[in-house]
Parts: sequence; C-alpha cells; structure tokens
Amino acid sequence: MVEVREEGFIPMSTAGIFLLALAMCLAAHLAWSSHERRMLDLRMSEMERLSWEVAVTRARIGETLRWIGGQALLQISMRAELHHPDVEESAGAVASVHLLGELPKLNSETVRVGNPVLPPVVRFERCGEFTSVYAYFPSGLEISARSRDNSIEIRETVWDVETTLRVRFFLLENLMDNFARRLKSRVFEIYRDSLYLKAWAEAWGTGAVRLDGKTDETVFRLSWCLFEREVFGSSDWFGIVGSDLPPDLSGIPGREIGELRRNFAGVLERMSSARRSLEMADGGPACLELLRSAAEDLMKAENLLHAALRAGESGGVEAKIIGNLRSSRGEGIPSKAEQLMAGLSGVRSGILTAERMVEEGDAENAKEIVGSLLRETEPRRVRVEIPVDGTRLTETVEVYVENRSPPSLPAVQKLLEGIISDLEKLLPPSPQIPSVPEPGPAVMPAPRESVYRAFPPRPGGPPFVSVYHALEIGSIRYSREDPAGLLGGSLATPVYLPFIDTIVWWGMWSVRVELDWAVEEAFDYPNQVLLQETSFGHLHSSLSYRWSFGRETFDVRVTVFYLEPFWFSTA
Amino acid sequence: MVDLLLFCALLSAGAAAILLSAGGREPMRSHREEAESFLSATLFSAADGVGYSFMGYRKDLSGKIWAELISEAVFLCSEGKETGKLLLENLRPALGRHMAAISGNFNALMRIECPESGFSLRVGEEGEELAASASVTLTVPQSPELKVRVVVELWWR
Repeated sequence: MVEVREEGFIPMSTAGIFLLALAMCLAAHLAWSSHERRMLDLRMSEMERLSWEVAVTRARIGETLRWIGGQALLQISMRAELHHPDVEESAGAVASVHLLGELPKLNSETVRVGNPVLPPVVRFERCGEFTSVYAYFPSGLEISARSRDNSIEIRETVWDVETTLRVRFFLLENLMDNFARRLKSRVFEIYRDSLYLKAWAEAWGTGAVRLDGKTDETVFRLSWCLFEREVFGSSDWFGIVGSDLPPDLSGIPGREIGELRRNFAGVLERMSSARRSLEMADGGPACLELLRSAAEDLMKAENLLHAALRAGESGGVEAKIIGNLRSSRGEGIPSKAEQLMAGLSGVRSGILTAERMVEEGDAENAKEIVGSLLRETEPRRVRVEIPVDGTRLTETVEVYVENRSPPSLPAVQKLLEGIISDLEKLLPPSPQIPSVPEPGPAVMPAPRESVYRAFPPRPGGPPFVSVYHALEIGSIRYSREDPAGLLGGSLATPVYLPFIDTIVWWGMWSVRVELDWAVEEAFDYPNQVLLQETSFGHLHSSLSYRWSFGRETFDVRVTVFYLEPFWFSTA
Repeated sequence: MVDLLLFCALLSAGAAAILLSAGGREPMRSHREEAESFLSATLFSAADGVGYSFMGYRKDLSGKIWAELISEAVFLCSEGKETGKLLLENLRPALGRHMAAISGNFNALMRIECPESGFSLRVGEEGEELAASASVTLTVPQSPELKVRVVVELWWR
C-alpha cells in the first residue's frame, strides 16, 4: 500500500500569497515602465514640436530677409550712380540694419530670437540668373524654444541664412554699367553718323543744309534710343518726343536725407570695424593682419565718404546739406567735410606706419602708434560770429580735426556721429521700409516714369529688360567753321582744285549739344514680384535700376563736300 | 479544498494585475507631425499659378513663397487695396489646389486669420474626423503690427 502525503512543504494559500506578491511586483514594474515610456513619448513629442517651431522661425527669418533684401535693392537701385561700384554692398548695409530691427518681431509665446551681439553681414550674390541674399551672423543668432511648463527648452544657433530673390539685379547692374561707361562715346558716334547722313543728304538732295535745333535734338534723342537698343535690347521710343511730363522724382527728395544718412552710416560702420581691428591689434601674431584689415576698412570708408559727398552734385536737398558740410564756419576753421577727409586720411597713414614697424619687427612702437590713434581727444571749441539779417549771432563750433592735431579715430567717429545725428533730426519721425512718400492720387496723367514703374513696357527682345529715359537738353548750338561761314555767309565755301580745274563746295560746322541732365532706368520685366508703392497704389512690380547723369556736352564736327553750291539755313 | 480555492483566486488576481499593468495595446501615434510637416511644406514652398490682373496688366507671382504671398495678401486687404482683393481671388483657389496635391490621404483645411485687421480666409475642406492640426504665426513685414495665424487641420476622408 502506498502512503499518500496530503501536505506539501508549505500550504497552498502561502504559495498563493507568495505568487500574488510576485505578480504585484511585476505589475508595479510594468506600470512604472509604461508610465516612463509615456512620459518619454510626451517629451519626445514636445521636443519635436519645439524643433519644428525653431525650424519654422528659421524659415521666417528667411522670409523676412527676402522682403528686406528686395526693399533694400529697390531703395539703393534708385540712385545707383551714387553707390557705384558698391551698389550691392550699400544695399547689404541697408538690409543689415533693417534685419537687425526686424528680428525681435519674430518672437512669439514659445520662441525667442536672440539679439545678435554683432550686426548681421548681408550680401547679395548671383544665383543663376536671380539674386541670392545671404545673411551671416558673426556672433551667431540664438533661437530658443521653451515648452509652456518650462520643462523643456531647446536652443539653436543660426550662423547664416540664405534666400533667393526672383529678381535679376546683377543683369540690370551689368547692363547699366555698360550703358554708363559707353554712353558718351557711343551716343556721340551714332549722333555724328546721323548728322553726317542728314547733312550730306540735304546738301546733295536739296542743296540746302538746315541747321535746325529742333530736328537735331530729335536726332540726338534717336541716337540715345539706338544706343539703348544696343545695350538693353529695347528702347524707350517715347523718349524721342521728349519728356511730356517731368520724370517721377517723387519719393527721391523725400528719401534724400534718409539716403544721405545711410551713406554716412556706411562710412561709420567701416570706421567702427577698423576700430575693432585696431583694438585687437595688441602686438600679437595676428597684429599685422588686423592692421591691414583696419587700413582696408578705412580705405573703403574714404571711398564711401567721397561718394556721399558727391551726392551734392545732383542738386536738391542733398546739395544743400553737402554744401553746408563743405562750407567753413569761419576763418581758419576747416569744414566738416575737410575734417572728415583729413581725419580719415591721417588715421590711415598712422596705421600704415604701424604696419611698416610691425614688418620691421618693432612691435612695441607700432603698439604705441595704434594706442595714440585710438586715444579720445576733446574737440577745440571756437566761438564764431554769424551775420544774420543785419545782426550778429554767436555760435560755438567744435573742431575735431585740425592740421596740428594728432590723428584720432574716435575724434573722427564723434564728428561723423554728430553729422548723422543732425541728419536724423531732419528725418520724419518713424521711417519705415520702404521710405516712400504718401501715395499720390491714382489718377492720370502720371509721369511716364511712374507708369513704367508700375507697368513696365514690353521689352523688344532678349534679355527682356524694359527701359525708360528722360533727357533735358539745355541747348544745341551751331558754329560754322569753313571760311565762308566764319565770315557770316550762308553759302558753303568754294575751293578751287587747279589740278582738275574744278570747284568743290565745302561746308564745315560744329554742333554742341548741352545735356542738362538725363535719367536712364531699366526694369526687370519678367519678374514683377516685388510689392511696392507706386502711383497706382501698392502693387507687385519689377526691380528698377536707375542712373542719373549730370551735365554732359557732346561736340560733333560735320563736313560736307559737293560739286554744286549749297546753302545753310537756320531755323 | 479551501486552501486550493484560495490559491487559485490569488493566482488569478496576480495574473489580472500583470495583464492590466502591461496595458492592452500601444497608444495610437499622433498625426501632429504630419500636420506640421504639411504646414511647412505648404507655407515655405514656391507658389505656382498665382497672380492677378490689374488695369488689364497681368502680374504673375509664380515662384514666390506661399507664406510671403499670404502675408502680402493680408497687408493689402488690411489697407483696403484693390490689388489685395484681386490677389485674394486668385490666391484661394491656387492654394487650395496646392494643398490638395500634397495632402495625401487626408482632407486639408487651412484657416488664415489676422485678428488685428479682421482678415479671415478658409481654404480646403473638412472631412469626417479630425486627425491632427498644427499652427504657426506669421509676421507681416510691411505692417509689423499685423500678425497672421495660420492653422492647418488634417481630416480623415
């Protein structure tokens, strides 16, 4: 008989409790890990959301840059002749200032765009046929996004942003450069050939050469159009009849002060850059490089200053302001323009001396020179009397740079800051991009240029650039140069040729065309994508590149020979 | 016998606890990411077939970025410009076509609102059930006080 044991080594209920405890532990572990997993999922999800917001903010910076770039090009291209050959650099400087101002506007509840320590460097580059705008942040631009409960924060440093503008800025710039460079010689050639053709045809055909200002003015305008066609592939034929209405100078006088301020701000920026380089040039191994960089910056500042001071040549408000800067306030007191030029040139000479010393291994003396260039100096205050309406007013004039004063970069900077501050006081209270005037009544007739800016005419052919021009011809003068003409006769001069026993009739005269001013403007016809204020309100139109020419004289000598006598008639 | 019953009861309780804590199934993955990527793809890509005719003159804005066009439309409309109305008439169907082309299995609805100017625009259509949504706020560079909120909703068809 087998004996069955009814009891194990522990009771079943104890085993059950033990197993239950084990199961509870396992359940608790599973619940905890599930909670952890869910929390991780939530965090990951939140981080992805924040990363997305940062990416969107970056894209929005690109959008802002595109808009600012377009407006800067529009603004600077309006007076391209003043910024040549650094048109894109000037536009970059304008865009940089405005981008810095726009960045804080991109902040939102969860995303924050930091303030860069150094202003962004904005460059325009060729991108295929279009233009790319590239912003580089030398000190980095921090974008941070924070979850609403502040538990997660992600930061990203953006060093550069690039975007493309669908405008053919560089094409317009190249075409206009060609036009401006060859204008004098090529218009002269076409005009001369046209006058010869006309004169010979008249002498041989009717026997009377008409010296008619009106006709020859039209011939001159036609020559301009033909040259336009050579360069741009299309012509502004309406320009032949002259400008029926004055060109659209609206906006330009309003912008003049702002532009002048920006020009001077560009000079100041270069000077600040030079100062930073000088401050870092402490005699170390990079000293020579820094000195060279500072000298280069000052050279650019001088060029920009020259260009800014040239602005006065085009007349208007600018001329008055520049005239004021160029005028001396009293005997022995250099004008502000003279002080700026002398100051910049003095500092640059000092840097070149320091550079030479470093090259010769005399770093100590070089350091001393650099120190003296950075020394702050107090201006000399001079009291001058200015006659106003019969009375004499006393004014204190501050002189920062004089012949005997040692060169000092801070002194020149202070002087320039004062000029910029004065200009700012003349500006409207809240200038915005685009600094356009109040919209005029959108009724016809509008100046032809305004119409073209809103609706550029269809170009003649490749490269599909529309053009506009306006010429103000001051006078057309004739002077006979053959003997009969010099004696006041209206008949051509007979010349007897004994070896063939023939009389040849000779007429020679010169035509002087005096051009008071001219405006040439090119439009990027296929890409009318820039939103801008026009005479017809806000609408999308193309980038225009405008060049103003000052007074020019064209002298053409025409000679005609004929076997029959011919006369000259004047209208 | 009682002991055996108690053992079985405890064993069942333990098994149930393990099963409950393990969870029945994984939670459904959200479509939010899809909505965000859809919103980015819509806003920051080049527009096609957009433009308007003003005084008989055609302005072709193809190639501009949608976000740029939206903020320009808001600006022009807030200023009460004729060109704003014209642009909007053309922007709406073009944006609708663009969204339909990239929305895949979803119906996409975009709501563009600018509380400061009272501007409001709906593009696209709803579906049966909302799958996900995402939003972004755009600035209007021409008029910094205006903010444009763009919400995109993806709906199951």
